[in-house]
Amino acid sequence: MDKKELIEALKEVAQPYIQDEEAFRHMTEETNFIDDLKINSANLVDIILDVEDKFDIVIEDNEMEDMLTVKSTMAIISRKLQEK
Amino acid sequence: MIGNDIVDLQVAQKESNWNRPRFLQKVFTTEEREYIDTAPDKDKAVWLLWSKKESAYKIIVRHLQKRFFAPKELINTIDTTDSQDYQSKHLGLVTFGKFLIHTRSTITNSYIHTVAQEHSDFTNLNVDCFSIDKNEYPAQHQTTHHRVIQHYSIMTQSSANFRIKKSALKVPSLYAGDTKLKVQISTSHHGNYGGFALESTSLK
Repeated sequence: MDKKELIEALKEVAQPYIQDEEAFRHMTEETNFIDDLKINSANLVDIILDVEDKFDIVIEDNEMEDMLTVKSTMAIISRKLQEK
Repeated sequence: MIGNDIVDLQVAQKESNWNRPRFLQKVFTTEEREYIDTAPDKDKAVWLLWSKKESAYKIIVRHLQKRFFAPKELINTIDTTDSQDYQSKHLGLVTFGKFLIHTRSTITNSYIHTVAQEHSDFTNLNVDCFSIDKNEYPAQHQTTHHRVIQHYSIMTQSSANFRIKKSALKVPSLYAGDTKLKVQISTSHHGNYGGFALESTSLK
C-alpha cells in the first residue's frame, strides 16, 4: 500500500468523527486529528480501534502515544503491515 | 498548574460507544474496569474516570511540554469505599509516573465536569459550567472563551480588553491586550456544555 492509498484509507476511518469539514477536505500528513479535524479525544480511541479493524493489525498501548497526527498514524500502520 | 474537562453525557452516548469491543481495554486499567463493571450506572462511571484522566492530562502536558495519547498511563486511584451515588462533589486522585493530581468532579444527569490541580485545597479555584446552544466547534469555542473573560472581568472589576490565546501545545492563557496575565486558566467543551477553571491565587 503506497502513501496515497494509505492516507485515503485513513481518511475513510476519520470521516465519521471529524468536526471540521474544511480541514478534512484538505487533510494531509501534517493534519492533527484533534487540533485540525476537531475530533474529540474519546473518538481518538474509536479511530485507533477502526484502524486495527481496517488493517487487521494490533496497536499496543505504548504505540498509541503518537497517534495524534495523520503522519505518525501512517507510520505505525506501515510498520505494522510490514511486520505481518 | 490546573486542568479541567467536561463530558456531555447525552452527546457521549450518541457519539461514543464505549461498549464496542476493546474500547475499555484501550483506555482503562484492570482496576478501573472493575470499578466500571460493578458500577450501578456504568455510563457515568466510564465518563467520570475518563474526565478525571483528561483533566489530569492537561496538567501533565504543561509539565512535560509535549502532547501525547496514553489514557492508560493516567491512572485513577480507585476508592473501594466509593458508594458511587454521585450526589455531591466527587474527589479523586490520578497518577502519571511521579505526578500526583487531585481532581474534583461535579456529576449531574447532563454532564460531568472535572477540575484538576496538584494539591487538595480547591478553594482557590474558580469553576463554572454552562450550556452551549450548538454542538459545533465555533460555538463551543466562542462561548467558552467568552464565559472565561466575562467571569474574570467581573472578578477583577475590570473592563480591560481581555483575550485568550493558546500556545503551540494548545494551553490557553489570558491576556489583557498584549500582556500575558499570571492567572492560570483551563477551558473545555464537549457537545452542548462548556466549563472552565481559573486559578485565583495570584489575585490575592
